[in-house]
Amino acid sequence: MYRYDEFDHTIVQERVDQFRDQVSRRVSGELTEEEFRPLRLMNGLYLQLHAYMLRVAIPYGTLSSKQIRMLAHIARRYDRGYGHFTTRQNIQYNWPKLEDVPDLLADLASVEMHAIQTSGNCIRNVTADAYAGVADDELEDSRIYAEIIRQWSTLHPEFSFLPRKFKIAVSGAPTDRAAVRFHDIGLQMRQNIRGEVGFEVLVGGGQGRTPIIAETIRDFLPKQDLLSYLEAILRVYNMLGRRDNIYKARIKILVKETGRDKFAALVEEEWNRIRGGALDLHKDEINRIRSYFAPPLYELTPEPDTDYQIARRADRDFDRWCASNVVSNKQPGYGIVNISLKPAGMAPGDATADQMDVLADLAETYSFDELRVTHKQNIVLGHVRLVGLHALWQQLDAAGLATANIGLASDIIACPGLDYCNLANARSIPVAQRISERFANPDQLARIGALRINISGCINACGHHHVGDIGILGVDRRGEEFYQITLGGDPTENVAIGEVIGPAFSYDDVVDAVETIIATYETIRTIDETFAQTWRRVGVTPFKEKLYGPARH
Amino acid sequence: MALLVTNKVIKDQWHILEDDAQIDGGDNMIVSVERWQRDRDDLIACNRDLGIVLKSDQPPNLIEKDIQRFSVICLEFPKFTDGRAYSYARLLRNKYGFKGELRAVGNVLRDQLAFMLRCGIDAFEIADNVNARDWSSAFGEITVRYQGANDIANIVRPNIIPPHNDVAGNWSY
Amino acid sequence: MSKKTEQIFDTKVVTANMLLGGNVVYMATGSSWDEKLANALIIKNDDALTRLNKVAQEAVTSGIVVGPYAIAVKIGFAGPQPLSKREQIRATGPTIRADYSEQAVPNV
Ligand code: SF4
Repeated sequence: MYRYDEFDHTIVQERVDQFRDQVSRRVSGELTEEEFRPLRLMNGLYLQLHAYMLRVAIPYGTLSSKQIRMLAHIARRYDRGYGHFTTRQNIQYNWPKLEDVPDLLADLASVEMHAIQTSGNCIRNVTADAYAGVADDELEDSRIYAEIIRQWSTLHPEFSFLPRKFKIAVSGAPTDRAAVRFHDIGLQMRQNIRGEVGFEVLVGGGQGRTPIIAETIRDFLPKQDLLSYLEAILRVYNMLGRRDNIYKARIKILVKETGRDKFAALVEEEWNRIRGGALDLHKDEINRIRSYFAPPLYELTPEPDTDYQIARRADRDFDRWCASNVVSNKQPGYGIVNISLKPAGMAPGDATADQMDVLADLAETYSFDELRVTHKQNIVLGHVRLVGLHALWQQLDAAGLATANIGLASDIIACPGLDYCNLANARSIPVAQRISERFANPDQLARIGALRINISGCINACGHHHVGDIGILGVDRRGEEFYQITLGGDPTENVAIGEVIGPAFSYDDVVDAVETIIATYETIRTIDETFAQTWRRVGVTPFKEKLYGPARH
Repeated sequence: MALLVTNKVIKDQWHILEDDAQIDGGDNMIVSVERWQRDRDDLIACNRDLGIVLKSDQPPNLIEKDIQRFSVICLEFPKFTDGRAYSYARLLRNKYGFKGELRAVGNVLRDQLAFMLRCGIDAFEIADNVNARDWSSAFGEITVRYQGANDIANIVRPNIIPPHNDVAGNWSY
Repeated sequence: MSKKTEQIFDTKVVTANMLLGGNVVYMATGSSWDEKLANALIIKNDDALTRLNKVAQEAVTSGIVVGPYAIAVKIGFAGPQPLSKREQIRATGPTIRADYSEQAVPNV
C-alpha cells in the first residue's frame, strides 16, 4: 500500500500544527464560532447531536495493521472505545473533545493518517473498489489512480471552496463495486480499441434529495490526461455551479440544468486549453505510485487445500461463512475475506477498539498486513490463503466478527441517524438492529439470498437508501419518526433508483413492513431468483398490495 | 481598509470610483464592470491607471478584450464560502496572461490567504486593525504542495519534480 | 386543546453544547451550565426566555458554549422532559446501546 515519503509527512504534520493553532485561537476567543466552524470542518470535525464528531480519512479504504491499531488506540484514549466505519470508507469517532483533537490528529499523523478534507465543500476522500488489486475481473488496481487523485486534490488552492462537497470514485473492474454512477465524478476504467487502458468519465451522479444517475461525458480518457481533465471539470463546476441554494449546489444539478452535451463541451474547451501541460501524468509517475500497490509475495507453490475442504465439510458454520463472506482472489489458492461488521442486533459499521486490535493482528498474520474498509461498512482482508482460512475464521468468531451475512438481508447499510446526527429526522441504527435481529437465522438468510437493505435518517441519503433493494428513509411527521420505503434501487452497473412504494410506516411498524416485503418476494420468486431479479420481473404491484391492500379502482 | 502585499501592510493608493460619481480624472481609479461597460471610452480617454472589480458572479471573460488595460483587478469574495474567484484568478493569470496586481477584496480571512496566493492573487484587502505579522505567517503554515497552481510554475508534485529540485525553495524529498 | 396542555406546551429550557468538550448542557441556576436536564432552569414565559437567551449569548461570546437554543419540555415526574424525539435522544444519549449513553462512564 501507499507509504508516505518525507513530503507527505511534512504536509500532514504542518496541517496538525495549523489546526492546533486554529483551536487555540478559537479557545482564546480570537476566532468566533462562525469563523472557526469552516476551519474545523475542513479538518473533519463536526458538532453533532451529543458531542463533536471527528471523521478520519481512510484513503480508498485501505489500512495497514499499524494504522488500524492506531484507530483502536484513538477510540480508547480519546473516545468511548469504539469507532464507526462509514459508507465513504472512512471512520468516525463520536465523542472526541475539541481540546483533545490536536493531540489526536498528531497521533494519527504518526501513522500517516489525517482528517483533511473529510468535510467541507472540497474534494472529499476518493473511494475505490474494495476488491482493488485482488479482484479477478479488474483491468488495473483502481487505488493507483485514487492515490494520484488524492495527492492532486489535497489542499487544492482553487477547489477548497466549491459550491458543495465533491466526491470521486474509481472502479477498475466492469463489475461496479464502487458505485461510480452515484458520484460527482465516477471513473470507470475501460480499454479502447487499441487495447490501452483509460477511463470512461461519468459526472453528476449522486443521491441525497435529488438522486441522479451519472452521465458519461467522455467515453475514453487516456491516463496521462486524468488530472488535467479533472481540473477542467472542477473549474467549470467551481465557476458555474449554483451557490444560491444548497440543495441545488451539487454538480449533478449543474449538469442537469446545463444539459450533458453542453456541460461536456465546456469541460472539453477548458481541457483543450490546459491539456498536455503541467498536469500531464507521466508513465514514470504512474509506475512510481503503482509500485506501492504491487501484489504481495504470494506463495506460488500450490498447497493442497484439502484441510480447507475438509473443514468446510466438517463445520457447517464455517462452510456457511465461506459461502457468503469469501470470494476468490485472482491469485489461485487465495481468497478475499469479508469481515462483517453487522452482527445481529449491533450498529452497522461499528467496531470496538478491541475488535480493531484483533483485525490488526489477523491482517498481520493472514493478509500481508493490509485491510480495507468497504462502502458497505464492512472490512476486507484481501489476500488470505485458503489453507489458513479455518484458523482465521475461528479467531474471528472468538472476537464476534464471524457473522456470515455478506450481501444478505442483515448486511444492512445504515447512517448514524437521529442517534448521533444533527440533521436527522429519525433513527436509522435501531431500525437496522431490529431488522437484523428479525433475520438472524442463517438458514433463512441463505434462503432469501442477496438483498441490500439501506437506511438513511434523512433525505441526505448517507445510508444510500435510494440504491437499496429495500431502501428505508427516515422522515419526520409532526415530531414522530416515520419511514418511507423504496424498492428496486441498485448501485452497480445495473443502476437504478428505488421507487417509493407508498405511505410511510411508523417506527414500530417499519420492521414488519420489511418482513412483509421479503415474504412477498419469497412467495413470488422463481427458484434462484434474487430479490432484484424478482423486482425487475414483477414490479411494484404485488408488494404494494401486500403492504397496503388491493388498489381500489 | 489596509492592503497586505508581500507580507507588508501598506496604504492603499487606489480609490473606488462609484458608479454615479463624476470621472474625476484623478489617478488610480477602480471601477465596476457596469461602469466600465457604460463609460469605457471616457475612462480610456482619461489616460490614467485603471483598476476594475470583478464581483463573484462576474467572470473574467466579461472584460476579456480589455484585461491588459488594467493595472489592478480586484476579485470580490462576498463570503468566504464563495470560491469562484479562485478560478477567476487562475484564468486571469494563465489564460489571459494578466501581469498586474490581483487583489482579493471582501471577506478575506487569514486562513484563506495561502490558497489565494497560490491562485495568483498578490494583494489582500484587510481590516486596518489586523496584526500584519500574524497574518503574514499564514502564508508559511503549509510549506509543501501536492499540486501546482500559480505559485510555483504550475507544477504537479508527483509527476515532474525530480527529488531535490528546489523550485520554490522548499521542495525537498 | 385544554388550558392545561397549552401551558405545558409553553414550557422551555435552554440547551447548548460546551465549546471545549462538545457535551450537551442545559442552562441552570446562576447562569451555570449543567449536564443534567433535571437541573435546567424552567422557562415559563417570554420575558424569562428573552432574559435567558441573552445570558446564553453572553456564554457564547465568552467561549463557554456553542449554539444555544430553547427547547420545548413538559414537566413530568422526573422533571422536564423534551417533547421532540431529537431532544429526548440528546438528553439521554444514543438509544442503540446502553453503554453508549451520556450517562455511561467513558471507556478510557
Ligand atoms: S442521512 Fe441524514 S441522518 Fe443520516 S447521517 Fe446523513 S445527514 Fe445524518
